[in-house]
Amino acid sequence: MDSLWGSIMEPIGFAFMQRGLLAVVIVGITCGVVGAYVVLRGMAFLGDALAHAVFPGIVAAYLLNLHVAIGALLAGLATVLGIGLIARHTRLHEDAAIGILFAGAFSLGIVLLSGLRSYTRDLASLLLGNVLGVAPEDLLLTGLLAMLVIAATVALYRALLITSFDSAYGIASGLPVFWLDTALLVLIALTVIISLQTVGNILVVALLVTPSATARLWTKHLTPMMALGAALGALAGVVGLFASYYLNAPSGATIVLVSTLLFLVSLLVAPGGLRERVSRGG
Amino acid sequence: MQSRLWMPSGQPTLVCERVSVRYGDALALDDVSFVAEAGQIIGVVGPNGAGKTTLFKAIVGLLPLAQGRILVDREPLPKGRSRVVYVPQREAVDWSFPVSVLDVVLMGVTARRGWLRRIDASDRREAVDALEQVGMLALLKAPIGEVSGGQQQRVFLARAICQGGDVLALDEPFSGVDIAASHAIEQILRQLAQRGRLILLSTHDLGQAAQLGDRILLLNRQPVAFGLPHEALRPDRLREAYGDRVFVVGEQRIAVSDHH
Repeated sequence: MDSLWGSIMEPIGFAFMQRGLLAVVIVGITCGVVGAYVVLRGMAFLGDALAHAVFPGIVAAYLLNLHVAIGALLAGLATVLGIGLIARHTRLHEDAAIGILFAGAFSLGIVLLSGLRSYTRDLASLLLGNVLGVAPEDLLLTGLLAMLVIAATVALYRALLITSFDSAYGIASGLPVFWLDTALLVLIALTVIISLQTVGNILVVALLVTPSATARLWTKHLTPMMALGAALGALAGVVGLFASYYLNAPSGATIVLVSTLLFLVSLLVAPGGLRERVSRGG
Repeated sequence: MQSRLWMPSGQPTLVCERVSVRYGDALALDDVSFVAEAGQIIGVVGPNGAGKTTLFKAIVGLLPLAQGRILVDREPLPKGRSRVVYVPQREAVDWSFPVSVLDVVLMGVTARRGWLRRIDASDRREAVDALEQVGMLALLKAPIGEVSGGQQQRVFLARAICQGGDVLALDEPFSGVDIAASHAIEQILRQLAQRGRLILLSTHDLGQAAQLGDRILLLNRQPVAFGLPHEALRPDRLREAYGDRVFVVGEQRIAVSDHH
């Protein structure tokens, strides 16, 4: 038994694996907490769009030799403000604004990147993530941003409860509802940025939505939903990373598959899953 | 009884002076004036599209005025805005959001004390007291989406009690509420008024408005009548507001057919 356990735990010996595990746990926890609002307020499309919209910022930062997180943050903020501007001041709905800006931004990123000689390899790593390539200083930044996001979510908990449940009451009571909603978007953008290296642009939305949606099937209260979402996100990250090592599969996609599997099982057995529908229908 | 929860901070009066509200080119409220005082229940009635919700939104500061002014205790909005506690229409709320009855009441504390302040034990006691006053203590931990319509309104009243404003503006508090639950809510509203709060509520039920309201505002974009129930709800005035949807049966009974 000892030797079996030893061989299962073998990858732990590698420093890149240790950093990768730490990264997926940090990212899983942050996504679980912030993802609760993404799921409950129907912002999945926005989360996906943000993951794509930060792309040109990353490429530009890379070309200018800046830290990619700075470029991603600027592009994310520009997109959030752009969406808000179009949705508030034109006759267009928010989803149209999201669709236009994210596709445009993503295309800009691809065109910028296509000038590079290492285009194909860089594109693959950005789109699909490279959690095993996390450098120690990246990990530090990820950890600091994650702490910032979680601290802000805790500080804004009561305010976001009001704006999410009953925004007219919030405005009537003098809460800065527009700025609180914008703050939530910024928190989502930051979460997307710290998740990019783990699973890449295309799959970030899965980390943001799937663990929280799974948690929603198990609980009717927000705080337990956040805690369970964080635990499920971290669990999927760890199990997925180990599985990808043994299966020699891409780590980001394997993590998302584990998360999806947890969701499908919950769909069948959780109190808020398909069972609930059947008993209601009957 | 927790007297500190009930103490009015003065003698609230609400003055609406020649208030008009526009949606684009359409005039949703046209030249509405009335004065209401502490301890009164004002029933706002009128046909669909009469501007009841618009009036409430204007009073709580959600809509800009095209003309006129609104004063709470002689102070103009928006400075006086925090004195008006808003209970929105049921449709305005996301009932699927996972929030407990207690958390909804605690929103009143957050609204009063500032949104960055953490909730402490005394806040919780205050919320529990408010829930006790509306008879909802037993369902403290229930998700708000899973209690009945009448119970949800009582929770909103507890939230309003916690927020502690002098003026309460309730938009259709009886919609989707059965008769027994309606009576419980009326009872709470009367108590709140007796303790010095000014209550504005809109309703589709003219009989209920007449029975509950100290004054009635009959609205059809313009104010048709404002006064004691038997004056404001005279058949000729109802006909002016509702047109041919009013039927007078015998001497006393009046029926209004109003479709939603």
